Amino acid sequence: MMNNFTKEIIDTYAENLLFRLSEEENALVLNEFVDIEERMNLINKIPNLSSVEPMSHPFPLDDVILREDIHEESLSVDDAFKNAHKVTNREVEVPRVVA
Amino acid sequence: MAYQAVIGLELHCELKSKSKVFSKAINGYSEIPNNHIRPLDLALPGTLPVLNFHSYKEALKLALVLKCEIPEYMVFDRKNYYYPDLPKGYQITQQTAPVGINGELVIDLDGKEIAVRIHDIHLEEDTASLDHISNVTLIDYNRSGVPLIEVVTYPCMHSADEAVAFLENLRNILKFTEISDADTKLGQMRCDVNVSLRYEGDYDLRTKVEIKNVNSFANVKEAINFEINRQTKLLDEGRGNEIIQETRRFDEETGTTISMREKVEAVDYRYFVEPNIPKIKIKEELLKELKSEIPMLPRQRKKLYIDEYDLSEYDANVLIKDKDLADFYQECVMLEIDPQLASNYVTTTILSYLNKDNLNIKDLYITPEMLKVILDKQVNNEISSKQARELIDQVINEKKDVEEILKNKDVSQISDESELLKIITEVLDSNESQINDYHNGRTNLFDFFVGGVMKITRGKANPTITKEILTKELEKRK
Amino acid sequence: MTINEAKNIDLEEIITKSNEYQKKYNLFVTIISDIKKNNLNGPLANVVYTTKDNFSTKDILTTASSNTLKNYIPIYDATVISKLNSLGAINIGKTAMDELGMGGTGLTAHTGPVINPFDETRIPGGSSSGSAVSVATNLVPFSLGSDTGDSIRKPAAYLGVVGYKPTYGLISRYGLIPLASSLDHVGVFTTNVYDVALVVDNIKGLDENDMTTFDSSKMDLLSNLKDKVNPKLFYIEELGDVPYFQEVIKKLESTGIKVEPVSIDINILNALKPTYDCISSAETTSNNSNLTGILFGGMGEGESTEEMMIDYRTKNLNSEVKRRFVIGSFVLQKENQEKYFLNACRVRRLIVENISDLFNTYDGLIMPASGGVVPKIKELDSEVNEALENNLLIGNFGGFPSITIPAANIDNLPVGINLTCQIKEDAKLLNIAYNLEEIINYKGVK
Repeated sequence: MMNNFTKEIIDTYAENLLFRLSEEENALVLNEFVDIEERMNLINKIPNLSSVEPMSHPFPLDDVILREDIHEESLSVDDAFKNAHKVTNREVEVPRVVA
Repeated sequence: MAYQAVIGLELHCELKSKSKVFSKAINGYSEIPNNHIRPLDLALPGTLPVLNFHSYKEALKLALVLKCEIPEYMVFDRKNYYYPDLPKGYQITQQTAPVGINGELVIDLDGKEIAVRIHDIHLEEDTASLDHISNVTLIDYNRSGVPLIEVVTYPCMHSADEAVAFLENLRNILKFTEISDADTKLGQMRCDVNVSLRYEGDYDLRTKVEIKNVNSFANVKEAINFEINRQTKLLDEGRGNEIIQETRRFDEETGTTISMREKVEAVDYRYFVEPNIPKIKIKEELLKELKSEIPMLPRQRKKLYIDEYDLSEYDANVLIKDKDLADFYQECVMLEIDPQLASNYVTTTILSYLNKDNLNIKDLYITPEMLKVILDKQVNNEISSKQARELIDQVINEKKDVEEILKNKDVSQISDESELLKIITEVLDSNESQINDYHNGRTNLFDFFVGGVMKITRGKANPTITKEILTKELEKRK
Repeated sequence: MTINEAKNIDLEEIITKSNEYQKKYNLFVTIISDIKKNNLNGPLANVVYTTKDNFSTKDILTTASSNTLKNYIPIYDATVISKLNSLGAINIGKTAMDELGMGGTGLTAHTGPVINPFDETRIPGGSSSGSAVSVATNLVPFSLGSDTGDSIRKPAAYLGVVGYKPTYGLISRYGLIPLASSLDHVGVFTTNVYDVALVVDNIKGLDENDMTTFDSSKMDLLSNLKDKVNPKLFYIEELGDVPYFQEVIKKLESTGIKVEPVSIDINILNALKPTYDCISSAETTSNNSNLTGILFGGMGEGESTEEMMIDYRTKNLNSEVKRRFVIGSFVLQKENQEKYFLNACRVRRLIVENISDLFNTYDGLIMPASGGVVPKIKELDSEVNEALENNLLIGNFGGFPSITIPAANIDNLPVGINLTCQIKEDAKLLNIAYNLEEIINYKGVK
């Protein structure tokens, strides 16, 4: 099972998540993967697990209340971009991205 | 070697609503950037999505209209990817249980009925819009979080015309049901096209090419045809392997498709169920209520206009272009105006006003009831069709009721034969020489005599009866 | 200190004390100095409290103890903050936490480790570290915390205070910077069970800004809080072999309370931690995808936008956070989802249904909050009984209401016991806890 956890794979994961790992961090993650692998094998030992429906919320809510279609006043640009890096005539500016 | 084109469409339509789908910001176009934004649209830390009840109902309504199977629960998922137009770093969409699956939209093309099968429709949120200026990109979050319905068809269409016919039918439905204004010019309807070719009779699909963000139906047609030709040429030259699974964009100027990205390995969106939105039970009574709100759709109306009111295909098509116009027309028919007569006036006189200033029928003062009053007069020969048109113009332009206009302008037509005879005799008596010239062959003088009668009666003489009496009188004076 | 005792505290004194404790325990990210009394007179009027720094507080720095947000000033208040402010409660500071809520040590805040007031060679516990310390040192009578995988209930045990996590959705999460949305709960630290009921009655409720909240207007936590009760409790046999815990049970049984061991499949117990790791890492990776520097946090350096985002995240996220993001991305990859993420979600259902069924025959689940006293910083990597140390996760998986109360001292360091009941039975939970608290009669650390 070791083959699909390599340093390169971990670096690609990190890159896809928009950050880079140092050597040590990469090594840390590498043996964490091994650990996860072992412990997830524990999970797969649980009988007829595949017939159980995955749970994505702690418990169902019987009557979910949806929002009436009423709008509120917009944020001012000052508030909205109070913490923004660069604002040019009411818009946030970043270096050009490919369309 | 004959190939069959296999086309599938992925369509994003902006839904109409006052507020956005998960935030309370205004859902509407604005000239001013960042003028319709709330904290969630900027993914400020700690914000949560709250589903707009109206958008939820509209999504269900479209699922009903497109005859989709509707799940027991409404479930949302996260589609995770990074891009500056996606502040949360994920889009809330539907992947596990879309609001509608395995639907169908029946369209007419060259007299044939084609059932376009729909893979699924799902409710999701739009991204912010990016303005690229010189070496910077400016981000406007007005569109961030606007409700979108994505419609995904099976790859079951085989020509550009079929694809465009599908898009037009869907747009009409969206407008008729008021789910979306579907205005391609405002980017409210954006289309991705998947095109692949296969040998005639083959079943399995070959590599499909995706053409992204084709924003007008004309471009869709051009893009598909170009792509079919491009792939055909490659196959004919034995270079089929050059057709790779890739994303291309349609370039309007050159009318060609251009490859967009080299690395093509599919991005893994790491879908999982949105934990902040509980599963929502879709209730039977809500579906019943929504079904009752669905108006008669364009295709049904067209069938009604042609089969029962025997209008021409052309007139029927004009009427179903716009729901309000079709409703106006149908109200006229319900008021027992002759369907053909009503159609003549609605598709000409009245429509000219709409087209001239790009108005909606509701903007005009005239109502079906007023048209009924006018056309009844024409039917009982109290006024001519010319006068009827004039009356309609006056009602629309002066914004006055028919009775009011009729009262202060005696517009009743003179069709009493003895009165007309008196006037015709008067005209003939004062034009002895013209009568002789008429009898010596200058027959166009007949219109001269009619003109004389119209002058005296200020256009109110009934033309058909006047001509009958005049012909007889001229005979007597041979 | 109880809420009642904190009624007429002098605010100047509190600010001086806060600064003093900050030097000793480094428990604050921000001390709020422009605080003043008001003339409201509700139960929380003019009562001072502290807030974990992952609650959005309008115009007050909110960092989640992360460099990604080290100068982020929010423009809105979390729902619980608005409620407390409108009742006249006074927020005196934002407390330090493990960065973005990840970890259970109190050592990873961007402002440096929080110090354990009883023994600085030991961790304070986390991730609501500063909040726990602010109550344990009697600076404030209560503090707002968040609990995704025991982040309130375990530090409470380690520091000898009460730590409560409600039923999922009882208290709005609007304004809480999320770690894992399906596991996160807003909760409180206090010095006694009564104060929990007093605070929570005033901050619970349906919130139009949080779809996962439910209407609890008919739930009154105070009315029968003090009724005498003889509940029938159970504990998980395989995880009950903890000396201090067995002593507490004997003490409770002597008063007529029934406590029975129940066996749970060891595979499921061993699956607690990996299940939590898969689900929480997947959700947190997605929840923190907004940390790119574009709209807040300050852009990184680089030629392109992508480079600037990468630089920002590389520099400002600590190793523990990056590790979880990589795992969170790994378990959700298409080819891995089935074996890792979805299987974890299936085990979650098994655990929850298993425990939920037991609540049909028992009033509550009582458990040791930890295997023993709070660990030394140097011994953090030593072997532990993982299932035992993570048993509080059960409360997060099922959204069950769960509370830790101090139980005893071992070598003058606190240990706690935890009580968990069926969902929406918060009143019953607090009523039983109130009774246990009286029986145990914990005296605190000398």
